[in-house]
Amino acid sequence: MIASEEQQEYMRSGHMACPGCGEASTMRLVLKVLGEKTIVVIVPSCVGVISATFPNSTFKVPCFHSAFEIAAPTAAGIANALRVQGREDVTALAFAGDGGTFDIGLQSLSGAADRNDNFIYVCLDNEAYMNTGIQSSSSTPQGVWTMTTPGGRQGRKKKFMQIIAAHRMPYAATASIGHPHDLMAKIRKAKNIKGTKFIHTLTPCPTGWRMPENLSAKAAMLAVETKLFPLYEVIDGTEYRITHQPLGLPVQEFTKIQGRYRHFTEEDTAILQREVDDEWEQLVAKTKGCKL
Amino acid sequence: MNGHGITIENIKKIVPFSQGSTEIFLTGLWSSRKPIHLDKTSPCRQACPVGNDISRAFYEASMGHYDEALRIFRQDNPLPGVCGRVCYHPCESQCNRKYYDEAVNIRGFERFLADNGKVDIGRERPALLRKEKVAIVGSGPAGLSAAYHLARLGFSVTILEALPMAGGMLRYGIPEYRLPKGILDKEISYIQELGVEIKTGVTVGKDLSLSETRKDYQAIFLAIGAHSGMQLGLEGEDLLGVMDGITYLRTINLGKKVRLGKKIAVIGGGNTAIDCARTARRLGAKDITVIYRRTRAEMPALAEDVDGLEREGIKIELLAAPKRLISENGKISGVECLRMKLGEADTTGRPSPFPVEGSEFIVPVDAMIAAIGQAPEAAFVKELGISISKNNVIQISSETTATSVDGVFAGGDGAGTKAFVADAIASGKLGALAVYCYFEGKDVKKELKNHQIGNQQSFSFQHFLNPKHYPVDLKKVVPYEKINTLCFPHGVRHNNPESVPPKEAVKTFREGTSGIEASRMPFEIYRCFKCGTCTHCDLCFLLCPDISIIKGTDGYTIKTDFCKGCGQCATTCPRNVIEMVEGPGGNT
Ligand SMILES: Cc1cc2nc3c(=O)[nH]c(=O)nc-3n(C[C@H](O)[C@H](O)[C@H](O)COP(=O)(O)OP(=O)(O)OC[C@H]3O[C@@H](n4cnc5c(N)ncnc54)[C@H](O)[C@@H]3O)c2cc1C
Ligand SMILES: Cc1ncc(C[n+]2csc(CCOP(=O)(O)OP(=O)(O)O)c2C)c(N)n1
Ligand code: SF4
Ligand code: SF4
Ligand SMILES: [Mg+2]
Repeated sequence: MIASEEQQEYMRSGHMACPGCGEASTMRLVLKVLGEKTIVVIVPSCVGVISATFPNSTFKVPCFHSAFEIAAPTAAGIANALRVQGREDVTALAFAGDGGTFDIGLQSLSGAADRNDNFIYVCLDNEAYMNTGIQSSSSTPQGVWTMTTPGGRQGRKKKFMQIIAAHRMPYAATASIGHPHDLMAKIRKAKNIKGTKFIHTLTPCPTGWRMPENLSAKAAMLAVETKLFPLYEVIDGTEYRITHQPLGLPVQEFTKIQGRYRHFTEEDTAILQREVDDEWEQLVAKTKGCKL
Repeated sequence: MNGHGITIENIKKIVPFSQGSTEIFLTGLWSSRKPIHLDKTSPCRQACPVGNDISRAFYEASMGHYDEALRIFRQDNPLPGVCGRVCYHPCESQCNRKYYDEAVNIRGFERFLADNGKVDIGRERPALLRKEKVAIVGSGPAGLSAAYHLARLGFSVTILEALPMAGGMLRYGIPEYRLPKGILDKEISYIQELGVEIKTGVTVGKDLSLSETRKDYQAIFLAIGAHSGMQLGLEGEDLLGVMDGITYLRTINLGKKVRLGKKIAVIGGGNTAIDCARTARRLGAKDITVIYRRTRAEMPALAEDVDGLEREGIKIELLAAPKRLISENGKISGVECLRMKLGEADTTGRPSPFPVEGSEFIVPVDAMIAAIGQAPEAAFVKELGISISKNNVIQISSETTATSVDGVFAGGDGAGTKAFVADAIASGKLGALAVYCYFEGKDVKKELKNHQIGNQQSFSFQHFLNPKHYPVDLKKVVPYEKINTLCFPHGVRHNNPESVPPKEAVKTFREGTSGIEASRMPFEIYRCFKCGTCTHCDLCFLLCPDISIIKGTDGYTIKTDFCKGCGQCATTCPRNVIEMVEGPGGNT
């Protein structure tokens, strides 16, 4: 059930996202929950193109287009300005891609989180620099094809939530459009917490993942149900709570629908499976002894 | 005003500012494929002979609307309390959930609704009464169903029943421990409340001739069942202590006593055989053997009833058939049997048994019950010139229930339909449609096709009454592959609990299973995928990246100007309600 105040839309149709874009649906849901009293910060990425093709905007709320590496401090600045004006009822929200978060925006995000500035940061992780044509980022999973890793990426996906947790910010969570009610519940929670809130969303990209455009939401669900992208939240960097019990499907259910994994051998998949299982166990271990 | 007091004019001076809306871009032009929401048919419904709208009933129940769910069942089925107990549940064998974990307990759900839901007969009474009078001969499930549906269509209906009370085999065959008479009485009373008159103790062909009946009524539906037990064809079947199963059960259900002794053999593997054995057990027989010529897998009786039989300590002698009855002083004392072996499949698809030479063995008995099948007593219909087969089965067209005589229709066991309650109800329902078409000058086959469910013989009564207000694609059946199982956690099936332990069961005719507990029922309701029925779960609406699904009060509409045709909604819908279509699409 959607709360009545969340029936409103704060994003308009006609934006420039590819058909089936996971980023667009995520942004829409986030704004649905945050509502009218929101100021959005966007940075170069598909988000930038989706939301603001000058002189038109997809947002019905104010939006500030900042530089690639400073989504977090821009939002923090807006939040502080609002505080000075006594307008703490307005939420400062930053949208940035994985490139803008895991790579180029990491330093500035870390600083803002350290100051515990009062804003919500939503990372729209499509696991590569999609807007510039599918280049690998430190969020691209190991072995995955991108334009810059034609034989598959050597490095491993950065465990970003661990970096985030290390900042001990009041609220951090993973979310995905495959589970919209969970996503919306987390944004609702973040809205009511003071300080820096970080939401890591997995946003399937049909174009970059080399899959049919009807499959993005299903891919998002599969990422969760295979435990590859578990849904959980971290309070104060220490309290872990899993918010959705995954079905535990084999990882190839997720990989087999995407061209970027096409070259994966059975062995590659087995390695991935082992890694996913290990990480799941580590996550479960972290929830032990936590409240709730 | 946007609530935070920062105006566009404040910032316009320093940065380029977008004031326009992206809605000037009609991204709908990017693709000609658009989604369309249209409810489809669930495979359980297609498999249900009665055509119950199971997924919709589950949907209503999932919102706590149990009365409405029951009303949905009763659109097609006048006897949900009966079917909820004794139906062979072909719906469950086709349930999509069986590929995921276990089939949903649909029959248990139907029983739950019948036992706990409120029936509002007033809503079923027709607005307009018709002048035509219809007689129904026989008050078993076929006759009751025809009466119920005809009454809902406004006909004046009279049931003529030979036995002292209405119900047919539901009362005089199926024992109390599987179908309490109180449940049957309740469901029959609803049919009477619809205005159906039931005259008991009237045997057509004896108390009243069929041609007289034909004069008094403008149409007749014959639902006479099959009440004559078949003979084994062995010498000595007139011995003391030999009885046929139907007569045995009827006598007991009439409240009379039958003393058979301690050791009893029952011949047969159908419901009648199993019920005879279990009834005899409850009446004190200690040593009972059911003798069946094939294996357990081929037994026509329901597996759960055979399980019950074994739990009650009744032996089953499989692959055996009686060869000779042994007597002592004019009374049966033993059944000589032959071992059987299974050979080629016969016309019914079951392997046919053949005897193993020299394998004779003797089962000593005090009495024997033969329950190897039953035939109709239909000789009286010849008076009107209605054709019957050599086994006394009334000849009908299976698509129209019409007999060889104008204005006379027939269904159920007496007309050779599959010998189950649900199939009898289905034939009564089709009979009602046929009678209606007869008076309206309509083509039954065409009507049936218009409202037919999937590729089966059943049709939707609600669709027939009001197709415009019942927007469901009855022909498109949702296959398992189209269910988005990612939306459903696994969960164990809730079976109907045993209400009497086997030790007690053999001493009582109390109903052997109880209803699913009210506190557990929601879990089973949740297990149902609701195949093809939109539950307004909002998933499609929430996932649309292009904000192109509009949520209305009773469904969703598509903004075709902006929908880019990605098809995520159709692919992700948990229950296959949405389809991508070429062209404008987009309407609900
Ligand atoms: C012991 C037993 C157990 C069964 N168990 C199951 C089960 O678990 N599940 C299942 O699905 N099916 C079961 N069946 C089968 C099921 O009961 C029948 O298929 C079904 O009742 C047939 O319905 P019907 O309306 O055609 O006939 P019936 O139920 O036989 O009703 C026919 C009625 O017509 C009346 N009649 C006949 N001739 C005349 C006449 N000339 N004038 C007036 N009235 C007349 C009869 O008295 C009778 O009341 C069982 C059958 C038996 C015998
Ligand atoms: C400082 C700077 N470097 C590079 C760019 C070019 N650029 C624009 S978008 C983009 C990719 C963004 O990738 P990501 O953050 O993952 O977002 P996505 O497009 O995948 O949503 C790049 C490299 C830029 N705009 N600014
Ligand atoms: S899951 Fe529900 S709707 Fe689907 S076949 Fe089974 S009972 Fe019918
Ligand atoms: S996704 Fe949910 S709301 Fe949308 S059509 Fe399917 S069942 Fe209905
Ligand atoms: Mg990216």
